[in-house]
Amino acid sequence: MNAGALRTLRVIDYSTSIAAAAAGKMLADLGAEVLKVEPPRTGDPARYHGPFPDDTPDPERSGLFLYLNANKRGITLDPEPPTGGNLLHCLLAEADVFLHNRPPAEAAAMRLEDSRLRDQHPHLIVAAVTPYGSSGPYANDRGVDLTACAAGGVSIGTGFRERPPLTLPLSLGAHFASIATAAAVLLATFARDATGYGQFVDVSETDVQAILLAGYGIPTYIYRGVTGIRAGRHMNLGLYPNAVFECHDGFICIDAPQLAQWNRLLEVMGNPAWVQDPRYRDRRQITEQYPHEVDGLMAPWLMAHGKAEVFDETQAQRIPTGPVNTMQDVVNDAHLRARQFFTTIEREDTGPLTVPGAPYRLSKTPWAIRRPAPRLGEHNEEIYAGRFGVSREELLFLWQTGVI
Amino acid sequence: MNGQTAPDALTGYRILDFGTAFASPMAAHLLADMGAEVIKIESQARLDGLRLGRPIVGEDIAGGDRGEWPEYQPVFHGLNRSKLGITVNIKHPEAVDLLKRLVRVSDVVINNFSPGVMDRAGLGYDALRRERPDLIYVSLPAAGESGPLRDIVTYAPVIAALAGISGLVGYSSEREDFVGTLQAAFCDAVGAMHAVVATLAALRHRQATGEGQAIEIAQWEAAVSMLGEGVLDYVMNGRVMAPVGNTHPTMVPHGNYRCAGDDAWVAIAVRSEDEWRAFCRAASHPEWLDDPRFADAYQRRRHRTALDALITTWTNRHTADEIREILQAAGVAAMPVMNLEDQFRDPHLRAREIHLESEHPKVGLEFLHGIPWRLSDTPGRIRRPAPLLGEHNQYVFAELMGLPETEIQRLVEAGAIY
Repeated sequence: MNAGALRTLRVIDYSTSIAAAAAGKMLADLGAEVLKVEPPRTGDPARYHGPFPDDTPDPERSGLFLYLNANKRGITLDPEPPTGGNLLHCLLAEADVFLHNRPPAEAAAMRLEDSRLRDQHPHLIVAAVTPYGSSGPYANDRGVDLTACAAGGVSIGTGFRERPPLTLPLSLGAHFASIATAAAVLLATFARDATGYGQFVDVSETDVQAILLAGYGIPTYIYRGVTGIRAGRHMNLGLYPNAVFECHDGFICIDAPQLAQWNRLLEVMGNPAWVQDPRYRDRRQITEQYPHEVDGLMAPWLMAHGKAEVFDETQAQRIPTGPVNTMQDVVNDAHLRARQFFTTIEREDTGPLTVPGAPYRLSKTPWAIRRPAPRLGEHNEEIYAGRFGVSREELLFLWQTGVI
Repeated sequence: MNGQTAPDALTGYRILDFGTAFASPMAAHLLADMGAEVIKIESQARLDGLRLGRPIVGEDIAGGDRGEWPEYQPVFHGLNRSKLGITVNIKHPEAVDLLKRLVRVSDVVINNFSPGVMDRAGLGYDALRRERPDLIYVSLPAAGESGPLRDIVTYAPVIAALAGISGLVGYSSEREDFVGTLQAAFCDAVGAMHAVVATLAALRHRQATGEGQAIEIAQWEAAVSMLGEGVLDYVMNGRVMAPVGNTHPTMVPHGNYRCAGDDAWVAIAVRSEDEWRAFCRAASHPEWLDDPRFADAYQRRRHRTALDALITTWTNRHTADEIREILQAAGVAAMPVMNLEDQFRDPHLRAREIHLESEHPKVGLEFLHGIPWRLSDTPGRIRRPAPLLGEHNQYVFAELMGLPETEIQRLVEAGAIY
């Protein structure tokens, strides 16, 4: 198996959040040597999250942990007692990247502020991914995915106008920030090539959403006062149809802004009589004023079909549509199967588990699963004894006293 | 850190952006902001869709899509800032040779055409790596370059539907509660950031070995890679996840609550029993602590509807900012649910520079989205406004490639540079 594009990059993943762990995973899946450092005894909170096989709770079989930490080695360490702190600095001296998720005040209380770490290890790239970022008035505010999606401007646009805004499902805000974190860490390695020095990489889950999801719409606010509020199953701007529609067995997304696409869609629907009405010519006006009226006109045809039928018939005419897939649909999708997208992670205590595979396919240095997620403290001996010469007797003592 | 004098992380790399619309242009501008020299390849023969339509900056801009409109599109400016721009009609027979010569002095080619388009134009990976063996060649097809659905036509919301994201967006598993639509082009940004990661990884490999490679990013697959938890719940337990609104498996309360004001909401999440006690006291409702329905997370979960209604009687009397202050002072997670206007005015997001000012030669002062990460020593910046059509033809063809003026003129007249 290839060693991966990032095989020379050494990362210490001292994280307890989805965003940071997922960033570490992205680097590990590309070949970086990532060491997951967990709190002694309890381990990472993701070990308690699930899903668990047969709903039987077991910190060694939590799906979220197994997914986010494949390809990493794992040790336990409490860096607060002096011996723990010394061991952490031994790790950092040999690492390129220190990845964590502590807001600045908490990092300082743990003596992990970036200035302190980089004074001692000038080559080190310190990366913190936090709900609101490591600077600014809310830097030390408490945050979770829900509050980052709120400040990030995604929630206000999601849901029905008269009902509460909806947060992103399944911690997608954290996953979204994790990609930015992996990118930013790699950018810092390029700067280090030139200078020899590491730097501080500050990623805010809120910022990433506010900039890359809400932010490109800022001109529409400046010039038209459009603030990005929700419009149910419809988009609040643009040309109708751009919405999720009900069919008899589920939902389908139809997004056909080009006039030719709309005309082809009307043809697929049998050119119903209402299309002659001038009221249905200005599709921007439909989106902004009476989308539900036109939904009602489209409904008879849509409800006479299943989502797969609508998908096939419209895509045959090159109309951008897609069925609203469930997780079951996705896992069993013939296209993804034909591309061998899904892969397997396997450990003796879980058996083979199907998981999403490569988000990108690199021809020479493919994304790959090289090892399963570590059991708690699985590599303590390999790292502490093998690298730093800690004796077995000392290891036992450090374990008994909760340092590792 | 002073963006004027700081070095850039990607100085010395040259990237050719063949992309249109969102995913490829966004990836390329992120790399350009961080110091790469990115050249956007456009053509009058087929304008980037984001250049088309009546500009929102003014009703009185002359001309239409063949006139001045294409230069007055702020959303295009946001996604193409920091780049140089040239116009080459890739369907012209002489364009291929011209672009191949440009590839020889470039490190990365990125595009988001449908599968086969670049190949048919003679600009596929196999053709271009003969010009530049260590080239990094990045493609962002929606469904990938193989498989039964490779030729489907999509936009970002369609990819969110295919990937299983839309199916999780709603208030509950009931049909009438289903929403399914995100206002943001979520999957475009997901594809763009994955492209940045993969490109940088491939450049690191090239630095170590001298070897280039091709990178295929199916935007659909990139989106599914974020859903490991949902995939595993199905694989482990046969459970098909359904929308759950704003509820969380273990945190209660956890939701967006209505505040004083028009469509004003605040997000509140309570993670522990300590935080629950702090929450009740901060909300001046210590009696909730004595209510057996809310005695612990298990009880609160059972009585979530009643609890949410009570919390709303409190949040309703305050602005979202007041609730944030009250609860954060007590150590409880709370944030206003912000729209674009709130974000534009919020002191924290202003300090974080989520919007940056930029001067465009036609529009004047513009506010564009910022840079999604903060690097202390090489922060990046908006290097220049988005290019006017063909603005850098002279620089690229004459200075960079060394074409004689007569040759450039001939290619313009032939319609290759167009």
